[in-house]
Amino acid sequence: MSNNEVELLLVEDDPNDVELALLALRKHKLANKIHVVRDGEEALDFVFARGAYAHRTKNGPPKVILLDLKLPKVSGLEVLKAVKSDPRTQAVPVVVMTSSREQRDMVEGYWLGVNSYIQKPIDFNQFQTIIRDLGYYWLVVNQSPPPEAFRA
Amino acid sequence: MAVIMLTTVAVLLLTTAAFTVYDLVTYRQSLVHSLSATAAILADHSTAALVQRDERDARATLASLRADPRIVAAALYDGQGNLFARYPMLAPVSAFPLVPGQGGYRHEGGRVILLEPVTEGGVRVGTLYLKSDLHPLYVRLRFYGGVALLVLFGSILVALVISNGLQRRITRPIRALAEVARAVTERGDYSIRARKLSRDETGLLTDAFNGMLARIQEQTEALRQNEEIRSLLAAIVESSDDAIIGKDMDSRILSWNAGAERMYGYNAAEILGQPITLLQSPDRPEEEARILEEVKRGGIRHFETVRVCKDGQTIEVSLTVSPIRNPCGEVIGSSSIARDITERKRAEREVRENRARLSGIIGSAMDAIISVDARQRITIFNAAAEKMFHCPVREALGQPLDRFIPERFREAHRGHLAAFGRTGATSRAMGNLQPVSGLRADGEEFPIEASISHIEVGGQQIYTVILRDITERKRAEEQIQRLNAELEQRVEERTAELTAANNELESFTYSVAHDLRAPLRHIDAFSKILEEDCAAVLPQGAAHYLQNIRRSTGKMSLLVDDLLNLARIGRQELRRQPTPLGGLVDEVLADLKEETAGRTLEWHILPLPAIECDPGLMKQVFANLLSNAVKYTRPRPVAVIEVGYLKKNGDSALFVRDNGVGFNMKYADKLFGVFQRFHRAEEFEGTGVGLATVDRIVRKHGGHIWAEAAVDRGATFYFTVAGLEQAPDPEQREMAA
Repeated sequence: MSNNEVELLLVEDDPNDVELALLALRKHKLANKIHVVRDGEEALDFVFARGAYAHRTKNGPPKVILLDLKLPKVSGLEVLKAVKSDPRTQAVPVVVMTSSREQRDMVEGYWLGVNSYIQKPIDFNQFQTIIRDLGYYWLVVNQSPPPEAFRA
Repeated sequence: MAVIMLTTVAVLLLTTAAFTVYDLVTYRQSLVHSLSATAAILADHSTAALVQRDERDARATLASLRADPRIVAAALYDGQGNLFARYPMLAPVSAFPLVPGQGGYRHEGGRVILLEPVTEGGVRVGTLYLKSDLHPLYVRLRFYGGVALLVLFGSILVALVISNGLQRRITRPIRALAEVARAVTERGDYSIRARKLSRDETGLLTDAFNGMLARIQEQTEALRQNEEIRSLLAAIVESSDDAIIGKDMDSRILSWNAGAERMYGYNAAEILGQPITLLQSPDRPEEEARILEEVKRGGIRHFETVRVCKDGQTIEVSLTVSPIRNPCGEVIGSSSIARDITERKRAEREVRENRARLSGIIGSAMDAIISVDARQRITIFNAAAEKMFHCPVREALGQPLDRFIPERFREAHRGHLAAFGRTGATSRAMGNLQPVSGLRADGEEFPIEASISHIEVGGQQIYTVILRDITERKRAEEQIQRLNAELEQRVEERTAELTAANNELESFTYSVAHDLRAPLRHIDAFSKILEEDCAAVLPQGAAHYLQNIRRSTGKMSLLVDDLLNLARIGRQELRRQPTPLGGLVDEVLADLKEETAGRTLEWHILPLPAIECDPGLMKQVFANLLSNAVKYTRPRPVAVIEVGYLKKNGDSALFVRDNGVGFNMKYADKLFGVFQRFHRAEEFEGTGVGLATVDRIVRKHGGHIWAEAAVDRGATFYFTVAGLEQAPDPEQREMAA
């Protein structure tokens, strides 16, 4: 039903986390159109279709971005800020997934307009459950913003 | 005048009456004589008629009586006494007596009745009856009355004229004198004088009277002046505060003034006549004899002694004793004037003592004390000043103060002193003066601090300065300033270091939170995947190892979380607000519900106060303590946990008590250290961070925590919080479950 080239953008530098996230998503058949970027810069290139992703101009934005905070080069919060302060992208739902329990990160994230903030639980069972619920919600349940929401 | 007139009239009346009576008596006798003569003649002529019984002749004879108007009636009786003839003939017979009676005459009703016997040859032949009225006598009497009245009026007139003349000459001056005398008597005014009206005897009398008045006036005036002086003297004596006493040569008291009464307490009535020795001190028995000796020699003595009052109190007096002489110059007694100088003596002693004390203070003072007079000459220079200025006192006295002031300050100092004198202030503290410098005798300058006071004694300005050598203090101050500056520098450095360390710690914590947790998650995740997805190919026992790996990661995860919490509490600012602790405990109990399911617990939640605290952190305190209590009572069939608030000896504390396994008090000091555990992990799970966290929170709230316990006898944790003592009365609640 979706015409998005990519439904879910996963921004995560840790390969273990990438693997575990994909494992969980796959297990629940939610990993159809997933793209993984490994740092903040790459994430922004993808979102704003520049650099290596310049060819993506014709394609719509992902249904949801799963964003880690601790990223090389450009931090997760900086990525969040860039996405949420640009009228072309600010309608894209962004879900922060982080190991950090730092309150100030949470505060900052909400100030910048994050749509959801999740702490990665250490227990893998819980992790799997969260990934499943999250994917289900944002990719299936949630009505994604219509194209009009993305002003050029 | 009236008296004179009355006398005159009386004399005249008496005289006139005497003459009239005499004349009337004389005239009546002559009238009787004349009647007798007429009767004798008529009797002679009637004899014949009687004898012959010739009635006609008898009537004719009687009729001849018509010539005499005095005869009002006449009759002839015969020898037998029968009426023979009558005159006048028509007169009724009843007008004549029946029997004529014997001869003689008698008065009857203002008439004279005369009976004349008629004889013939010596034989009585009848009786002639004559009745004569006294008309001539009355005529005569009326005449005399008229004359007497005329004389009386004439006399009165003459008397009036004479008395008037006399009055003008004599009575009036005398009456004037009498008036004056009365006025003088009544008014007591001796300055009145009588007016001299003539140069005769009364004039002399007036002069003499006036002279007498003048003399009396002079004497009265002299007397009055004497009296004035006397009362003035008496008033002076009486009003004097001094005791003024007169005594005779036997030392008996003769006079006693009010001052004496006040001073000695005796009143005049009880002391007069008493010996003066009553007032004298028994310690000085020979005193009165010496005084008497002096008085006899006529000398006046001044001396100070003691006197004894009525109440036995001894007072000090200054005494002046002087002799009293009679008009002949003999000493007859003495007067003594005493003044109470007890107070003065006391004041003098006080002054002496004060002076001694003051000089002691000045001498032993640590500060230099220097007094100067108005010309800036030194009058006081104490031991400390000697030491400070390296100058002995004998060299300093009389010297100008300038000698001890550095040249460049002298002018300013003089101006300062003058200004100070003008302000009228009496003292100025050290701090109020500009810092000044002193000059030692050897030329060394040094900093001093000074206070100054100024008094005026007998018109003399005296300035006293108190000086303190502050060389040492200056040095100390400078050192303190230098040290302070150094310290500030060091504090700044340390603060910078600390800030850096803090920042480092923060990023470390952040790293721990993020980086340390990630590998843990991964270990757990892959173990789980291995466990689930590869179970078929794993050798026996691998599943158990995988579980151990996962349990360890879980434990480490808790540890990391607790440590992060502890670190955060250390950095976090307290957000204090009024918090009812009872409410916090309720919340904690609700959170513990799951953990306590299936167990028998008895909660005793005593009334807890509301206090100012960070509710989030305070909740952690109760959460830790209560979950500990729940945990360590697990072996008890009935767990009893008590939460309460104690107030004892002015201290107050909150406490959590349980009947759990307790611990040995010899480890009590390790109780609140990080990672300190008293039980094996198999018995009671835990990270060993909880009580360290509680301790940190309590200390951040200005309180402290301690515990009392015994092995298997339960444990009680007490903690205080700043402001707990002022907390309002705790809420009343009790709860059991």
